[in-house]
Amino acid sequence: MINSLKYNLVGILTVICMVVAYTAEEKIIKLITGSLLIIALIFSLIETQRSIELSSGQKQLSWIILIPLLSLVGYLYKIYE
Amino acid sequence: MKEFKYSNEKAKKVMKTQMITKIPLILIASFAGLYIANSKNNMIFSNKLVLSLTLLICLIAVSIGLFLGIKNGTKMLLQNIYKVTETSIERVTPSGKSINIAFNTIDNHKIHKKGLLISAKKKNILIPIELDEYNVLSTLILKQIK
Repeated sequence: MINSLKYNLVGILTVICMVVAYTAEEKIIKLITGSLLIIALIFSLIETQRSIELSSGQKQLSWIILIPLLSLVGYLYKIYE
Repeated sequence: MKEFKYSNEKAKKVMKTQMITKIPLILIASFAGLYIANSKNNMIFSNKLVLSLTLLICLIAVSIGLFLGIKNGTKMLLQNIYKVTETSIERVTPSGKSINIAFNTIDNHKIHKKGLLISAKKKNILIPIELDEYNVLSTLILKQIK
């Protein structure tokens, strides 16, 4: 139960980062939360690929994370262009 | 050598419980997505038809996600196999890799709420309480450790 609460809290923090990155008006806040989100997505992808608990099919499916990751990178790049 | 696995019913029950604990997070993420989509031009919340259609699509997507999550998770749990020999315990994971701990290398063991945790050098194996014949397996291991 404690573990699931911990994972849910990490998930909620990630969602908050996503909302702030897309809706904040200050560029610096967008950059900070966006960067945190990018780190979280990359970390998640690496952990999924390294995990011995997941089957190869699930590992292949996790590459789908690249879609929101690249869209976020593009969004932040566009802001600072 | 003896093998222990999850039964189909227990694996399904475990996955259902895990998915239920994830529902609040999924709902929060869905509403956050709606909020982001609406933040640009207030298109979703100002139009009742668009709002109801969006909510319906979200509900269908979440339901399909939960259903597939339970199905794939159950399949994954069923691929976990615990093999006990006279000298060691081996856990075969869904990826096909296995963790092997010899009984004479076990540093620590603890009975948790979730099951029996065996620790050796840089290796851990948790024997989940939901496993079929958990009592037989844990007794066998504890006897070997002593």
